[in-house]
Amino acid sequence: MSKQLAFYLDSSACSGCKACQVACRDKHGLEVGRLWRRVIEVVGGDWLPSGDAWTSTVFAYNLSISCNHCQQPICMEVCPTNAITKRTDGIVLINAQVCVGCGYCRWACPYNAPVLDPVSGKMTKCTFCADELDKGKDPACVAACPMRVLDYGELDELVDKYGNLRAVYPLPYETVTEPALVLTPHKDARPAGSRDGVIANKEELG
Amino acid sequence: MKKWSLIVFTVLAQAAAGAFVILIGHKALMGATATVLPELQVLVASTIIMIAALFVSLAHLGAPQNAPRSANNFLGSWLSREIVFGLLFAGSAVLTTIMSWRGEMLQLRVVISWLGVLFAFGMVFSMSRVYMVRTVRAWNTPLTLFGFFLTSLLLGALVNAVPARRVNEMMVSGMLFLIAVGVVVFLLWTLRIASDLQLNNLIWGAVFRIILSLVGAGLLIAILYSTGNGIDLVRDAFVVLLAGEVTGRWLFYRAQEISEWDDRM
Repeated sequence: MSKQLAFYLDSSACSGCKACQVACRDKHGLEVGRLWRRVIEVVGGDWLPSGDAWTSTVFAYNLSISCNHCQQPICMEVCPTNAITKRTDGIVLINAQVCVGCGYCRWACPYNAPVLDPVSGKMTKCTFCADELDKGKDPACVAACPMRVLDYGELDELVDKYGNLRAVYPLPYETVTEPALVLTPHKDARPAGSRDGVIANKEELG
Repeated sequence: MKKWSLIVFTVLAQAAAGAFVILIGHKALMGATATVLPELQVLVASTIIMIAALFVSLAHLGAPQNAPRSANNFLGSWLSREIVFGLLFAGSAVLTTIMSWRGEMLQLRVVISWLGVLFAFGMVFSMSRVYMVRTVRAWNTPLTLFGFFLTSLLLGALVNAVPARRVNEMMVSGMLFLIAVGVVVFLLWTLRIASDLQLNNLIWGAVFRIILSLVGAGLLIAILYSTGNGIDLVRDAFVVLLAGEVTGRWLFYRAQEISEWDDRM
């Protein structure tokens, strides 16, 4: 029976330290500018006058996001060379031997997961550390998180354990590609589709 | 580099397709002897432009050595279909040009030329659908489809007009109509994305693009009042309107770049 591996993120406790990002880059030898896991910093709100005082509606939260190995991977639909495949365990992979480096998967992916390797000219992305899973180990990002906000497992089990929230702002509605992602939201998290907030570190995300 | 190669590829390919379709369609409507269009010159231009476009498109690939594999997902990917139709159109254009130059195999030439029309349509339609991907709101609108076909028809009409012996009122009227509709479609697209994106950079580009269209239209209108054959004015209009289409296409790609981390569905 096929299964769907998924990531879990407890955004309510994510400090935005980027240890997950560093661990991923270290394991996969990613050069500066190429990220497979991105920590998105979301901010919003303001200080509002309230009589003689001020009221703060300022909020901030972090989302650690990689490829979500979607159940309806649009990258796979659009790839002209059939370089992108989905394994029986749900992991979506790019076959570098076949990839032509057109970048269409990057345009299509609502999470901007695929990134170009400038040396090989091929598209690359999170592999769920499939090689580590084969050895019975955790993905590098999950193992590195000091706050223990990252987890992984069978999607149905994660949903039973943590609930069925799959998207918050700035992530797209989960109905678009059905990401294998479960979230515990930050207390100030805005719903997907909200316009009440901005990404504060766009230039870091690649 | 990647963006510019795609801008040049899409504009040139659409121009080539439009030129071929207008020439063949015009011949069918008016009859081979009644046309004022220089058939061989337009066929050569269309063919060279399309072949150049295909070569330019390779520059946007990170691994062009795998380009032959790009047709692998014809059943599922609009990009695969665009490539296949593009190659079939280029092949049809080459064959039609050669047979027209040699003045032989008229019936077969007619069949291949109409196949070329179908492949050209398929290429531009597929090209539009490549960009109408549901996760890019700036592109996922019928305005993308209309805009791509209008670019094809306008630039195609100009490719037909530039080498013509004279530019008549019907040709000018047709091109003015295409410019007017193109400006309306572009304005609708700009207004659609304006609600979601920071327009700081785009607004001036949009104004510039519209100004170029108006200047091009003015040059074409001047043909109607000139005493000459209008060829110099149509060539000037071609340069200005081509610049307008390139500017519009640049804005099209820029809109996606700006919205890459926002404005997803």
